[in-house]
Amino acid sequence: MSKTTVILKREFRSYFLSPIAYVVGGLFLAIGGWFYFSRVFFDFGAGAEARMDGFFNLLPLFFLVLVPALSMRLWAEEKKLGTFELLLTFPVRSRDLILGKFLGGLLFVVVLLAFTLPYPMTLAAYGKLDWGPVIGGYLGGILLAASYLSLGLFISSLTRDQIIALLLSVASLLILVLLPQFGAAMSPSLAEAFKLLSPVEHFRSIARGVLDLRDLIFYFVFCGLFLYLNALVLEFKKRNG
Amino acid sequence: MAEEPIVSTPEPSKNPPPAPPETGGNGDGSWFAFLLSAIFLFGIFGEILYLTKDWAFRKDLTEEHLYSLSGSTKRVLSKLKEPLVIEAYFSKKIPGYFVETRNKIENFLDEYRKSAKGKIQLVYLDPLQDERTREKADRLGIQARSVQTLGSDSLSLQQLYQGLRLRYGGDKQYVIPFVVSPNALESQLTPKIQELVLGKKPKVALLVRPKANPNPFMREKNQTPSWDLVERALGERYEISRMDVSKGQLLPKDLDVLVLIEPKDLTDWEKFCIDQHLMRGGNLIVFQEAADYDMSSMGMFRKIDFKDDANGSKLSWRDQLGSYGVETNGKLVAEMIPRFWGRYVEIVRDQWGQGAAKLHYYPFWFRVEPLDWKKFAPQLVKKGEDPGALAKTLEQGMDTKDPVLKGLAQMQFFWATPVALKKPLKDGIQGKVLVRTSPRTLTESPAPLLPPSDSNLIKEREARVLNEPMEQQPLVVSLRGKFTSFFAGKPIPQRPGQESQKDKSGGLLQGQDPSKKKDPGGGKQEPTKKQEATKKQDPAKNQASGGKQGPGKKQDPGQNQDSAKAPGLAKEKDASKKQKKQETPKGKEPAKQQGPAGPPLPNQDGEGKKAEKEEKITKLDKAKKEARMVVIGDASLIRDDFIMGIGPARTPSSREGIVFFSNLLDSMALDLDLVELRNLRSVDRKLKFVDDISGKMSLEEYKTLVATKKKRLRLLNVFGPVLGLLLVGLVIWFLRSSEKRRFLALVQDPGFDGRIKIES
Repeated sequence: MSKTTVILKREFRSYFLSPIAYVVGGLFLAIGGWFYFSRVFFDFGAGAEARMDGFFNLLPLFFLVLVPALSMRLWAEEKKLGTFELLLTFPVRSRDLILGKFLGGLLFVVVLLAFTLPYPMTLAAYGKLDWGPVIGGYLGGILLAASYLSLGLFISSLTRDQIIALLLSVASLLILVLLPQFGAAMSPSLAEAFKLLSPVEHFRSIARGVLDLRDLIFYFVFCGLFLYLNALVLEFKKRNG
Repeated sequence: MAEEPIVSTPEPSKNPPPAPPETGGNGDGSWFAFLLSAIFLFGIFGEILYLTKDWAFRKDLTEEHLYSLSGSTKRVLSKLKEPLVIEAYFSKKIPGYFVETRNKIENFLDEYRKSAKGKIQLVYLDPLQDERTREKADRLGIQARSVQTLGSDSLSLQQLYQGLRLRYGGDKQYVIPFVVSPNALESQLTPKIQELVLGKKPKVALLVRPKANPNPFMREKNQTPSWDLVERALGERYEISRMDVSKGQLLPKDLDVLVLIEPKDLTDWEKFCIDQHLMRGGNLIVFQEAADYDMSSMGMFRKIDFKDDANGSKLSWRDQLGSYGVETNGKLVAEMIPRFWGRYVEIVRDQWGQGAAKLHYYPFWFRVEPLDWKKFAPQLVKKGEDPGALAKTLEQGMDTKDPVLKGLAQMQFFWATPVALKKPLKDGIQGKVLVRTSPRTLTESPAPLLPPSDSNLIKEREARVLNEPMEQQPLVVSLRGKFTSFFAGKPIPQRPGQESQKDKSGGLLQGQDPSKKKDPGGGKQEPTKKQEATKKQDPAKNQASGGKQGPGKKQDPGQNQDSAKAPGLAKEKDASKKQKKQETPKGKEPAKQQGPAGPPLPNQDGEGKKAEKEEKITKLDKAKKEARMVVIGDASLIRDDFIMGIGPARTPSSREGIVFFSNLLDSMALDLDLVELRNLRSVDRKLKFVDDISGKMSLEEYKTLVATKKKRLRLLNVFGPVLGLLLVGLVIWFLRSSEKRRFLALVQDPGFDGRIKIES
């Protein structure tokens, strides 16, 4: 078993041992489910349709709180408990540490998303569901969570306080989410550039059921950037104590 | 899976010593170096995104390939023999909110370029940057639109160009002045490419004669039913004209399809023209109605009276349809399975003027699905009856194998009337039913009022349907073959405007009583004295007077010698030759012989009189070419208000109606290449909570069951996953507790030697 896998398992398990994961996860499932099913079954007009767009449109908003709540503890808790320095002395490379924590957090989000699988199953039981956008939506959701998580993990490595990590992550993600709107208000070329930088725009593209190489590259590069920055911080701390 | 170590320990010394920092490498380890590295990384990140922004490799996962070029487009592009140049007059300076739309349009155009495998050249031109390009765009009719743009402190208007010019084969071109939406681009562009490749537009004539709204106030408010949307939608692809035979001319011979929408007040001459169009191998689509209702009458749905035949008409339109093989009974169909009912949303106002929406189920608006009803015989059968015997009588709701209905998940009908195939059909005619209702339906004469809010409307019929035999009502039928003329053995009806000819020449036209005098209002289709007079005529007499050709004369078997000539015309022999020439295949005909040109009206000048003299109408008793005819027992399914959706809730809406009509026209006039373009998004994705096919459930039971099911599903989906998560937590807590207990038991054991066995 590689070191990354060992750390991944440890992190993943630790989520299930912490009440915060149940609170945040439970709230995500309850509120998300309520919002979605209140609307999808509303058929006074043309009739309710077997579509998951309503749910996937909510994901960027829900993840804005959910993912930082999961990522805030990844480094900040280690620092608070004093295990951070200990961890750095272990014969484990920064890369393994970061990837392990990142994948552990991502796996937990995947599990939470898996709990929403009854939604498409219900729709498929009572209507003709197009599974293409559903697959795209879930894949996009995972990639979106990965991008949020990589940023959250990086911010968590900068601070000792979990709440500050949470607030900083939410604020940074909010800026990223609203980036296209800012750009549109300024100039067309900026709007285009800012759209390229916004994880939400790429998520929307995938969630409609189109797998575009450019979107996949974006998430790969975005996650790579923040994980690498995280590694820089670790190295910096290793050297400077 | 191996159990995790209870106590984590550092890994054995086989591990290499702490690795040197493989990341960063920032040398002095200062924050400054860190910041520099971060900025450098962000730069790389931006660069990668910029460099890959044009990498267009994508996979469309949607079932209907909503975001890809359709098979129709690819087939049309494969027909390109010469290079097609697409000049995109797109201004680069655009408002921010328009960037996404522009990107999508450009991506779509790029898809076209790639799919054409080198046959499409895509050129982008910015009229705002170059004065000559702007002038060229203006000359082509590509106009800039003013769009609002938000500046730093104010709103301003900006010029936006987004037009396309297609050039094909040197001289052919087509211009799209402004591409509004990327979603509609394919259905706009592909037919145009097809048209450029084919070099012609099929010709379609419409006869639209809407019934006037009985409420004069609503009539003033332009509330008369209209069919403008279908006309507009098809105008891009077809050369559409209105059927006009008011001057006594026949329909043009090169007319591909004649469409009769809600035919009413048909004169005998019009019926003759329709008949002869079929005999010449022209295709015919009839949207037949039995009744229509005025929805503006305070939710009362008052019947609008109308007649198929014009006043003074001697021949019945229904008989004419019958002679081709289609029977109509003038009744309305009421669907009695709630699952298929349309819903009408009524806005009810209280005493304070506050409006509240009220939903009514309405059995006269219903949908038909491609269900195989044989399978449902056991559910439908009445007590004591044999399901097997019932199954033998049942057929599929929609014949989805037929290209016209391919991909259509449903069709909506509104006050539909059954249109059946005659049994047996005449020799050489093949017919099939394309759309049928469910077996649990009622047919009834149109009532004067049919308000959806009437609670008895459904209750009465629910009781009645139990005693009625089960029978599917055909709603769309298709016939193909060489039809026999309804006018075979009958004289050619009086042509509008003939009265003046008769008076001038002193001769008689067929079907005219010599004792009757000229009506000054000749040419109009209003009941006139002349028409009243012809009504009284003896058909036998007409027939006798019709035969002018001698028995020894040779004639085309399909061509009756009955002819309506302006008296004192050119020699009969020459004219007969001319007519024979006229009946040659379309392509070989000289343009001037394509159907008699509209004869001049009374009081014409010398030129008009000359044309009048040359004119001659020949009647075909038997079709020389195979023709196709489709009769639909409803015209509302393509009516503007039903396509847009009724009322504030826009329900019901007959989106499928426009798709069906387009498919129908394409199957008759084109080669079906474009069908897939419209079948996009045509899958019915509506949730069906209660799938009661039997129709034995009452409306109240149905509503209650739907509401209960929805409530249960909502609760299950909202709380189920949360409970699942908590359950996982409980299991983990339980496992952890037992682990803890085992550990404590181990360390508290008197024989514990201080060593812990680690399993990995």
